[in-house]
Amino acid sequence: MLVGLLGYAFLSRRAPLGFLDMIFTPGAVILGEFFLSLPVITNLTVSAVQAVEKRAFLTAQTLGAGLLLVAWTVLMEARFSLLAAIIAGFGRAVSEVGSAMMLGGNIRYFTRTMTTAIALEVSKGEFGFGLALGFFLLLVAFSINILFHYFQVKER
Amino acid sequence: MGTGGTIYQLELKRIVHRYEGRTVVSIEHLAIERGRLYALVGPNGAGKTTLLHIMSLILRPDQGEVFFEGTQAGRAESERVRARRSMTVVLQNPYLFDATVKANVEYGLKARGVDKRERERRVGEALNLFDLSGFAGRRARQLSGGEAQLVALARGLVLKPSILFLDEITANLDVKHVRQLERVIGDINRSRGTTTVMTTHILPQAYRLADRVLSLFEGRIVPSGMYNLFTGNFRHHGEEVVFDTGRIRIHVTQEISQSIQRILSSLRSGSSRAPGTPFRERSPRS
Repeated sequence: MLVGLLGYAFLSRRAPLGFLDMIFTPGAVILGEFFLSLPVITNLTVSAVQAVEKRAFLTAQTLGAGLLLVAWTVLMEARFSLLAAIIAGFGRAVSEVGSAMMLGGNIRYFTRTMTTAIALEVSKGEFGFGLALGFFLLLVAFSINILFHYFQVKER
Repeated sequence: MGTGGTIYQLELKRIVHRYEGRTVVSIEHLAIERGRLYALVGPNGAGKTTLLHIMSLILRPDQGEVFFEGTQAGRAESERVRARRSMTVVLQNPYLFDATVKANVEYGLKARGVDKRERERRVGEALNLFDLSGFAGRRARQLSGGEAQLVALARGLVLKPSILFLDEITANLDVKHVRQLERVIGDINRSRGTTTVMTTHILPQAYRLADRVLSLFEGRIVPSGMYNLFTGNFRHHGEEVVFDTGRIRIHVTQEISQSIQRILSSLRSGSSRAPGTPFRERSPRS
């Protein structure tokens, strides 16, 4: 909600970034979700990279890799944890309602997301439809997690 | 540049490196000649691995200069990377990337921008050298310790380095793999003329393989005889004491053993003060 509020403060018509004309557009929703999931992804990425053995760094160096290739190699060694970080960030973004509502305005066929649609349906008293949308949202989240797990098992 | 204008393949001058306030390497001068096989021997903690990392330009010493092919290894990382591409280091506990054996072996070639066809040919050649052709598609993390060590060596040799650094690579292997590795190391040195610097704490292995044995003790290069004395053990058998250096075994009285220990102790403290060998203060040419 706070991200939504801050985003609104910066993006609304008379705000410092109002000239971008982003408020109540899908771009604004994406920007809000990006800032919302950034700390989760950053924290998990830092932990993942720190967990890679120092020997990986040393080995890449001894094999003649430059700094960029060394960095890329370390990221590749942490790829499963990085993917998990992305999934966690996705989970954070997909389940969020406050910022999507404030920055997108919940405009039908334009900025309405699953979560804002659920909130709307429940407020209208359409509890059953809201519940169905909720199940569908869960299904999407589960499918992505299962897909991730499948790739992880397959490669190992 | 050596004395009289000789260009050594690798030369270390006035190297000092400290770790947590302790001097771990202190080398006045060390020259590595092209095509020779050197063994760096010393007990655990003597500074072998640190010295190897300094020689292979992975580690920047706190003081001193490293010359590769007569040119000082510069401060810029790009220059060091360029020089490092003529060298290969195989670590004691090799780290294999979480990928296939083939991907591991071709890593260095990719870093050097070698084209795909040439990569395939050289990887096949390197794997053949260790009878690992059937392993190309296997996950590197599923290999045994011995197999992993062979893959690490293949990964180094595929680059055809001009200097090969081997850090205790036979330490955790069974006799069969040790023999195989020793044979390959000797062959590579002779047939390709690859300068090789290997660390080991197994003296017979050093003398079996190397043209030159460098003894490292408390971060300094000491004469081999001195190293034997420093690493000798005193064992008590009743009234008698046995002083065993691995090469010499003498039976002495308690009194004489104490005198020997006193002399060794004073030599050791001398070695931690003076640059070069422990005798430098009395004999500057040592």
